[in-house]
Amino acid sequence: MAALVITAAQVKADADATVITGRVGVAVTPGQMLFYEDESRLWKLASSTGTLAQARTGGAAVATSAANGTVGICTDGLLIVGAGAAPAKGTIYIQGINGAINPSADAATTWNVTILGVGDGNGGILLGINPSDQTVP
Amino acid sequence: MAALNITIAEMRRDDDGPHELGRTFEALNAGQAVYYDADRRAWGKASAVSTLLASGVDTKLGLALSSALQANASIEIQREGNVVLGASANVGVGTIYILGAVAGSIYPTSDVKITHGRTILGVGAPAGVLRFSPYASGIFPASVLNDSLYKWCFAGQVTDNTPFVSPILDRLGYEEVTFFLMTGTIADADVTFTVLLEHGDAANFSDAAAVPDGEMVSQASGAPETDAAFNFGDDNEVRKLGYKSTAPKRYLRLTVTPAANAAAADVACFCVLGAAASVPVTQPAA
Amino acid sequence: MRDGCKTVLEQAGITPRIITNNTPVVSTVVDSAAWEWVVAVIVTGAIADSDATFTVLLEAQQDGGGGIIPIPDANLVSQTDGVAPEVAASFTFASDNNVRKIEILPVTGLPEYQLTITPANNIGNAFIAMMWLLGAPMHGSVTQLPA
Repeated sequence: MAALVITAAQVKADADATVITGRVGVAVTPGQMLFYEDESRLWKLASSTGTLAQARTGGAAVATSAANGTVGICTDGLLIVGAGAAPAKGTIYIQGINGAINPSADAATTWNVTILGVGDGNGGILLGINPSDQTVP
Repeated sequence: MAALNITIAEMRRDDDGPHELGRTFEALNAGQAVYYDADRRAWGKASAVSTLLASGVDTKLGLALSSALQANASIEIQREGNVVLGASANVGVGTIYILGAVAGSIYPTSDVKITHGRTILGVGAPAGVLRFSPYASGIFPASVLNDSLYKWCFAGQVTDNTPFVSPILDRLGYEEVTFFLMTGTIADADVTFTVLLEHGDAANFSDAAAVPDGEMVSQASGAPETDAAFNFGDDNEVRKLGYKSTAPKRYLRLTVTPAANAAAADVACFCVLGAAASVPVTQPAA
Repeated sequence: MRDGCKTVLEQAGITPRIITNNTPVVSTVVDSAAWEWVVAVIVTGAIADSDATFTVLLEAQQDGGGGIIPIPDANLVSQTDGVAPEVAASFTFASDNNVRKIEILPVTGLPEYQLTITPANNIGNAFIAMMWLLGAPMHGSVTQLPA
């Protein structure tokens, strides 16, 4: 298994999803998962293999931005990642490396586990983001 | 892997996460995942193989912190936060836990079955702790594959008028029977193939009788066996024939008989037994 | 009894044939777009070789000529609990007169699939066939064409 391969143009938040606005500290593309860095007050790429703070995913970018720009971030509800990524229906997705979304079976030693949600089989992931602060031994 | 084996005496709350008291509508044990049924105004064991409500959709989910020996008992329920399940539970650090096959039980994601509702319960932490943070997605992936038993009927090549004869099929426990045929290359220039479906109640088929047309389902609008039949011009085609009797018999056999055949004809056939008395069915390797 | 005939469409995948070597056999492409479920059924006849193996692979066709990609196990259903779907559907020299089944959970945007059977160590006659079954039509009723 591997991280979802996301086509940026296919990413959007469902009409009923929760979307907030945030300023990013790095260049981001739609579909990348972000965490909020308290020190800089900027959103950056969440990652399972960095610090625990980096694994505390807050949401998914739903637009493109250069560093220091502002983007919409989908934090809850249905995140549509598109037919190209094709998240499998019923698969539990977790935070991967540097903004990626991986199926839960990809959790490897040293990964900090953050649950992102469940695939709906229709190009979307029902978000239920839950950083556990636990590291796979 | 299997459900966590929780020793009740080892369980306790680990932090001050939100919890509440509630009434039960059934007996249940401490350590079991529970959901709130608003109609009954009571809690019961959450399940991945029952209703959306029982999987936690549009209702409260929790972890029972005390046991109820019967319905209408009072229990304490943790709604979120760390819970010590104990050493005996063998909680895996970083393992994601979900609802599974048995109501109330807690399973690792590796135990998920294709048709289970996806309700996440939490993530394992050190010292037997479950970081309980439930999320009921409401996703119940549907699969039909193991609702039906697939039976081999025949597959091979004939070069003469030798009939293709299926084994005597036992449909006991299944209320839906459909035969699917395929043809490959039919080399002969004038061969015809007739289809006969027989049924009986004796295991040795000693009482076999042709199935009346009215007890079969055609793939088109004509007589079922006629519509399922084929000839020299029907290379690489498919046919199907259903059995649907108001007084069904237990055993069935399908026969395809060539006539005027003097060259190679490739034919294959299988039967799908559906509407099983219990699912999932076990598909044998042969 | 219930009717399982009128609500299912069958489509030839690999027409019945004898194969005699290791050339992979590729099925027709099935379009599952208007169907709730799709199952591939493999039927074997006599397999003469004494050590041949036959590996099953399911692939999806990407939109816009994007090529063929493997289907991950998460999108497949195995006939045997605990055994990877394509492994459970594969067979060997000892699998004469058998049937195998594998289901694809349709994914929006990737409705077209093909199945490939790849023999190895095969120098004898092996009779194989494969059929697609499509079920639960999303619109109207099923019209079964013969071919």
